[in-house]
Amino acid sequence: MQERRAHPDGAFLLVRKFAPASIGMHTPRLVSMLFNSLPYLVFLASVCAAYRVLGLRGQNRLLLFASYFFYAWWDIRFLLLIVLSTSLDFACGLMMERGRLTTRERVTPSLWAVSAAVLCVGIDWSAVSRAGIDLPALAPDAGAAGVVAAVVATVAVGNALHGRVAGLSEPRRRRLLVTTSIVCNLGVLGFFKYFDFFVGSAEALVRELGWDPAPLRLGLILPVGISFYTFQTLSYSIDVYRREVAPASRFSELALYVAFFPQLVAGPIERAARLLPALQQPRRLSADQTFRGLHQILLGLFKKVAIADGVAVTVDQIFASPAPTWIEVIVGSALFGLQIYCDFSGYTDIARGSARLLGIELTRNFDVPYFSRNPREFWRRWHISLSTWLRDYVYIPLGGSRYGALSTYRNLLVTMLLGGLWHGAAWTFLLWGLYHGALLCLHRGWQAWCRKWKRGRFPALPHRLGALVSMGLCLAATGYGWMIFRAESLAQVVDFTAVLGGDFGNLRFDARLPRFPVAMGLPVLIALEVLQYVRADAEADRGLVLPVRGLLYASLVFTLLVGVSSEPAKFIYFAF
Amino acid sequence: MALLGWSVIGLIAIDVGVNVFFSLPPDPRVKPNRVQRYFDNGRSTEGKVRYLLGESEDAAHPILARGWLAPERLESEPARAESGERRLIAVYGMSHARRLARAVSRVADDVAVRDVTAPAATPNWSYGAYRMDRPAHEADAAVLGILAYNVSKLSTTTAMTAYFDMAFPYGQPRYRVEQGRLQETLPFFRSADDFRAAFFDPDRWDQFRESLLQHDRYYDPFLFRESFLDRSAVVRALRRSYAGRLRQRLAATVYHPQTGFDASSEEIRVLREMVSEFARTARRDGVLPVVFVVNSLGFGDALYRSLLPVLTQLDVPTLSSHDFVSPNDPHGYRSDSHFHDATDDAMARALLELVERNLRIRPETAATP
Repeated sequence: MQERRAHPDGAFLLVRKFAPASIGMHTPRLVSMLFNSLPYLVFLASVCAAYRVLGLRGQNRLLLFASYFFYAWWDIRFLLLIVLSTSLDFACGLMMERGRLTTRERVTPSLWAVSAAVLCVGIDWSAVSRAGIDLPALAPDAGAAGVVAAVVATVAVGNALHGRVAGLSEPRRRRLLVTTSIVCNLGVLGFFKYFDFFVGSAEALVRELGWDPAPLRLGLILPVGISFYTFQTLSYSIDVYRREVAPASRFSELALYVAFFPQLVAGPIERAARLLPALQQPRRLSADQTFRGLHQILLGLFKKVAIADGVAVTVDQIFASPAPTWIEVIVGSALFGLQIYCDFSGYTDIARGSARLLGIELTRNFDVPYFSRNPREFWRRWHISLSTWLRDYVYIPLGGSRYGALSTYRNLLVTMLLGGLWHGAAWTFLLWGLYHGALLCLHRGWQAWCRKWKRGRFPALPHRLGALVSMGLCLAATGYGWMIFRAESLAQVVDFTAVLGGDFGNLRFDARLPRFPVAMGLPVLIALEVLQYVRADAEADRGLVLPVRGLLYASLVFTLLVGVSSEPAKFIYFAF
Repeated sequence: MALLGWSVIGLIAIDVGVNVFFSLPPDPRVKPNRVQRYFDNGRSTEGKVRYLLGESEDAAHPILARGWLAPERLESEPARAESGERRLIAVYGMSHARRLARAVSRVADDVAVRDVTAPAATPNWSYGAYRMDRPAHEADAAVLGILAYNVSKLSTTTAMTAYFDMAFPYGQPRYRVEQGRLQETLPFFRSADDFRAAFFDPDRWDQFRESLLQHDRYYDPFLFRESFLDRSAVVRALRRSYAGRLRQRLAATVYHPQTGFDASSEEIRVLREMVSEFARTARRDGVLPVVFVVNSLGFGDALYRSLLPVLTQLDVPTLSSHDFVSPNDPHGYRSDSHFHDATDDAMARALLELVERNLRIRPETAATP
């Protein structure tokens, strides 16, 4: 995503909204192992080939190694955060359940944490290049050595406190441990994701009041996928606390649950109750499952490469434009809705397809969301793993809909506000969350009003026409939300909204049109989505006769080949 | 397996269907529609050239004659200001420069313009054209057009490799900076006739390919060489995609949206040296040097900022499009990436003012060595 910054000369610079800023060490690898890249396909093929000749334990070890390698490819330093989070939750989970840990159960996570600190941060891997190893440069700088020392000290303190915590009464111990897990996990997430945002906002506020504070922002790099795996580890700790899931008895199993590479960086956010058993039991690898996996990967690549990347050029241009017209705002918002859907659901399809090749089923994350008839249904169909997470761990604990209308509205607003904030540290995301919260409240109020007053007073629309009108309205409301989500600043939201109202009917369109593969692929995508919706089956195309399926896959492949020429854009949700 | 078979049959059907319904017109002089062009785009460069050459010399596409760096091509261009004309301005560059030249003629009747431009010309073509044209005119000012989008193509020796989409066969010199000076490698062909003859002479054509391999960073045999695979729409799609990725990768070594142009890249070093030699030699000839910076849509003012040190150091009069159109505003650009006529006119007026002001302040006849 790009934002405009005024240049002193009055010109403009383009910068990425989520551009990583260096914190003094080497920056992350630019050639990421993206799902739509050749390195990933080679990596996946290699893992699948080795996986098929191994037994369960060997498979899990391979998957864990592959998952850490996959993450370290982007930036090995942040792998430490995953290992620390896993070690903490492993120990907390077992202690919640049993109190005292065996020596082995304490030593294993301790060793993992310390080894990870040494390997991920204690060694400066940028000293290793194709030209060879610059041995003196491998040594850590003072900051890195400090991090290693802090990890060692924390592990030592944790081990020292173990006996005392284990001696607490069970309810106190469970509460203390779950609180520790939540605070630590959210603390890391909050530090890396929100510190600069809140400090920067506070600085701006203070500056408005006439003071000139010293800049406190750290320019932190946002670790890829931190929001996803943090929510996954949180759900594990909370579920163990609620006794909804048994704690993992093997460190490697929990580590694999947290870091399983297909869903590590952009979900779906898996629950322990679902994924852990799948990792603990032998997997059956059938030809049908392999085919379904490949089919899903193909579909995901098609969505990402042919559609999402194909419309990105138009969207970027419109949202970088200082004075777009009415039609450009409409088209830009609509195309961004298409882009983010194809980008994210395409990513999920590739993730689920990759997992299927390994005999593991991941949660379905999208269920034709743009066919929703109201905001509530939309959130049942869009990013399902996040919306159910927020429902189970925020909305229901807040009271859900149990304490009257006003309390329900408050809970909806708070939940959606947090959902918005989860997406990123920007006021536009907060506003987007608030907007969806308001939509949900409005819809709930409307339903209550209909139940109370409308019944029998107005003629109802025919069912299908009514459904179409509802879908259209919901799509329009969602589209406006996407404009807020994509906007570079609150000022742009205001500007674009003013254009929607004040420039009504201006059809001048000067932005670049989406690339040709979009025109080729969109009819295929729409046909597939309609089929899925009508048959209420995510794999509805499997019911088509063989020649039609063959032609369908051939057209997906052809459009994909044509679409690869588009400028590849990073997956939008990597930034969250 | 049955499904795989049907998928392959489907792919073959699409391939045949595209070739039947969207094939290019047999006569290269007939303009194909956008869909035909799109599906043919992945044809190898040699395949495209063969098509453009047509059945005979008379049937060839006129584009083959454009852009050759030959002095005789410019004989029809004015060499000095005639009576009733107060100035002669020589313009070197790409289509944006050509549009600027035309705008100058539109807004000032008494200014003659020597138009030395070529479609999609890279900065090395423009500078090569300037060098070739130096002795042939008595212009008051020389304008060197540089397009941000084309900077990464400074390491090409022909438009055939610089642009995979359009097979312009004309060549351009390649420049390198060695010991602080520009070193020039001349293009392999200097005229359309020479090119046509060599295309049908396997030995000379092999030598040409060899020179591309040696001097042209954008040369890639898979994209360039013709084969029977050109007939497959699927392979063309694949080649088109490969070409896109290759160009993105090469361009990314010179320009990044976040950081702008990489000052340490060979292309920027060459470009800066090119601009300074242009300024020095023009002043030596008693000609006012003007650099016309065209900031492509989406590039911000990165090119202007990248050239600023050398422009400031040598005090080179500069016309940069970002002063007229925000490089991020699509409204400032036409769908073919050129500026609107009104913008060209405004830039033309600004150019004339810039030329007059500088000639008044510092007559270039007092040339600096």
